[in-house]
Amino acid sequence: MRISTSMFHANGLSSIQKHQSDLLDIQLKMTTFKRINNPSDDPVGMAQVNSLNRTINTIDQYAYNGDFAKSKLSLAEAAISDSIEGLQRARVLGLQMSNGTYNDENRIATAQEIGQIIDQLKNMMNLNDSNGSKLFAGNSVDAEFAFVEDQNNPGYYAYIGSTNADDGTVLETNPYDVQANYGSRFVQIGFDSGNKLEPNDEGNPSRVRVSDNGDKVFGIPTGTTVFTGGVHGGTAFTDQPDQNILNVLVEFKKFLENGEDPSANVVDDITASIQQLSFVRTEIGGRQNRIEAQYDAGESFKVALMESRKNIEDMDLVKGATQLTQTENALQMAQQVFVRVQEMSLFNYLR
Amino acid sequence: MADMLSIGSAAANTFKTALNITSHNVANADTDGYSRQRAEISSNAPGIIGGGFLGGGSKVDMVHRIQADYIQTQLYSTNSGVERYSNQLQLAKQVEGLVAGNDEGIQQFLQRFYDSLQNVANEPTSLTSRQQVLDEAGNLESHINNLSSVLKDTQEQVNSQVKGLTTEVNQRLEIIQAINTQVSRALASNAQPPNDLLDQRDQAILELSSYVDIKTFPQADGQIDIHTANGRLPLLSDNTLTRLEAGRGEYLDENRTEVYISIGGQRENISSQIRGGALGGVLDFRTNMLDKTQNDLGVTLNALTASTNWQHFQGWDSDGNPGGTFFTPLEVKVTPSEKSVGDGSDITVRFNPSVIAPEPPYVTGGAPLSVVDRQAQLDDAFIGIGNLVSREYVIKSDNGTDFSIYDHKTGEKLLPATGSLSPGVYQLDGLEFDLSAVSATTGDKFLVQPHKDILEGFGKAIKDPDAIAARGQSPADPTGIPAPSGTGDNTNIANMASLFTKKLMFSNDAGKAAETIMGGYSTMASNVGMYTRGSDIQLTAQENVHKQMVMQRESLSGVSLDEEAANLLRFQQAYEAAAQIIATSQSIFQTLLGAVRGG
Repeated sequence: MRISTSMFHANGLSSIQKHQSDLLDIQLKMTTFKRINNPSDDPVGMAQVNSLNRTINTIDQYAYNGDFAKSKLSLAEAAISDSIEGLQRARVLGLQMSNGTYNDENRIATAQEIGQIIDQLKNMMNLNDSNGSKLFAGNSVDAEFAFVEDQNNPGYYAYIGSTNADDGTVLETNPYDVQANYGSRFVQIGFDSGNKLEPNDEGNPSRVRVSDNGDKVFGIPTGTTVFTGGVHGGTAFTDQPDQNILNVLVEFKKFLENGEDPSANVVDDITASIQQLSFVRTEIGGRQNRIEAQYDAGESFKVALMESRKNIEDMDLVKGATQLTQTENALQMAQQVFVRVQEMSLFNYLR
Repeated sequence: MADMLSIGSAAANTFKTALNITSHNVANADTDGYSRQRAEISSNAPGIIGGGFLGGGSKVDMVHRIQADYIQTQLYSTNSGVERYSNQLQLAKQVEGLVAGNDEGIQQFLQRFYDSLQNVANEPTSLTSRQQVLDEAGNLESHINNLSSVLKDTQEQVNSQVKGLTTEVNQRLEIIQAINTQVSRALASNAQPPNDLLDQRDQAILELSSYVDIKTFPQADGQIDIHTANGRLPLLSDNTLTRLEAGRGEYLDENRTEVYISIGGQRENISSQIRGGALGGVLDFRTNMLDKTQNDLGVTLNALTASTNWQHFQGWDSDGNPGGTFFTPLEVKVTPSEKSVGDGSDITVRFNPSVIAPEPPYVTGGAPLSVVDRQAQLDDAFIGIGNLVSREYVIKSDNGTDFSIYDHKTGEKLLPATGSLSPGVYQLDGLEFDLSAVSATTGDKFLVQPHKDILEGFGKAIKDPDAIAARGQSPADPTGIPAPSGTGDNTNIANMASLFTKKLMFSNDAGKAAETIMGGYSTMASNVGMYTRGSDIQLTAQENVHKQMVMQRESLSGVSLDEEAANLLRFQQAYEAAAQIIATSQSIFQTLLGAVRGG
């Protein structure tokens, strides 16, 4: 084949340029530690990396949600534990007062102590979290009180979701709110297959409930106390107050103030309430364990995802270093060859 | 009759010419488009001397230009290819860099937007969490706007590039036209080919091929005809020039520069026919990458806007009012073609996927007064979002009585789904086309670009953090009359946050969605990457072919300095020998004279 002078030139230059552009490419990959720096480096790989990033970041957000839920739940747990302690003391007092060895004065004095327990319990039942939201008012987190005065029975208390709470007709304060009977604040701690939370207060496995309905916690579903205002054999109130532990203690106190022993029903109901509260506490502990388990599962899933992201996106440094050396050598060689070939001309010998 | 002296002087002349040509080659060793030349030397007609022929020395018949037309035409076509793909690649890299540069930001802010919704789900009554949602939505908006406005600027850049390249094409054509005239004149008056003029013309045509794809047709009179668009459109025919013209497209308000040509008084848009050269590359980039990227991004934004809004409509805000619009809803411009009688203002295209009236946002106590109906509207919205397709539409009346809808790019006729609200209202690709108020005129055409329009209008509409509809339907009556749940409820905001992981976009025929919002965004970025990679691969292939052709041309027509040096020696020696012939002839003559004088 006939060779023209500019072919040497063009060939030499183009091979130098090719090696230079290879070198630039390797330089970028080596310095960013990434194999994919632009979408065109691997269009499919980039879409995978995006999707992995999304999943990893979402797991982080779920972990954050879990932390939030745990702090909220541990506050509720503490409040319930506190309440149980108070109730256990009330139960001891109830048993003591039931046997006939105590006189009226003893009973009136004990009524003071029960009053203390009532105050403490009321405090716990109306507890706020750090954000000022009620812990035990269901969805009505910004209610002033979760348990308010019974509109029909002064001195007794009603949950704001109960019909005994004032609906504005009697006391004209109107704290009644049916939404307090639902606590559908569920915090998402894992991926949800349906991506949907129904408004039915039931939640789903990927979410954990953080707000509780005060009636379910402090109510006594099996309550047997008939409220008479602390009089044995007295007339039962027409509109009975709610069966909750606060009202049982109020009735207990009224018995004592009247110098009477508490009815057996009162002591039974205190026991039932302790059981109910313990049950709720266990259930809250269960939710915390679920958050923990979900967190662990998320973290180990994340490790697997990060591993595969690394495989797709990261530069193999050993391979890169080898390529770098190869390309470097090739470039140097191309430059040397270029100079040598340029020196060769017949004109050099025509002197 | 030739004698020694005349043979010697003819030979000296011949080799002097050959040396001149060698010098000319050396002088042009580095001239673009130069083809090496050779002196064609032949022996002069012999004279008859007695019984034999006596040669008459030598002469230069012609100066031959060593070149092959077939190499030259292949060179034009490979050059067109290289220029096309290198322009495509350059522009594609520009957009790719833009997408990659904003990629981190958009992904991050999309994630953070949904994370902030999760935070409100954790603590719906916290004003800080609610404000954070607005801030993150604002960040997302500014990042998206950054990307979409640069894409729009790139459209402007393409417009001016098309205009500039058209001017370049016309200038090159004028040069070729002038050379054509000179060539035919030179050939008419002279039997010798005008070698350097031909080289110049070849070079000018090669330059033209950098701008547009061409086919050349040599004519008997030495002129060359040039056609473009795979030989279909004449640019230079019988040395008559047909100029390319850059002008606004038929949808004037779209502000898009197209390439036109006027043949036989008929002005025709030939943008889609030009396949090669820089102009072909720029036009291909515009159709297959820039438009596509804008529409791909737009379809994702439409899905984001519609899904967020319609889920938001389902909830109640802090004050117990139904949720309002969260992101600014899609507003579609209808652009009439310049020939249309109607102005398109009576046509509306919107995202309103439900046949249940009225369309949200709802008002307190307003219809539909049923949770089931509102839920059905949301379900319809998700179906509509899944049906969104990244394309542009042309609404056209073919017969003057009704309209049809066509895909703007492919020209395919699209059939709207049944189940229309009223005559002239159609659901197509998740969008409602309301043509009920417009009367049809034959030939009226309107351009609709819903996914480009959202790029202009994307942003958050909500301003008050308390207006975020975090709570959902009251669990007291989950399927009955719409009523808000308690302030501590997070059902609706939890569902809004879940939209991040929910597959919403690109449904198959069975209605099963394939991509999340982030997936839709990734699809756009992947398409950008694929186009860039495709252009890169094509460029490498074309460059290799072109290099091959350049090498072939060089091998045949290029100047080899070594060869010229050898020729220089050869002709110099021959010239010296010829001079020696003259000297010898002189000395013979002197000998003869001396003999006469001496006798």
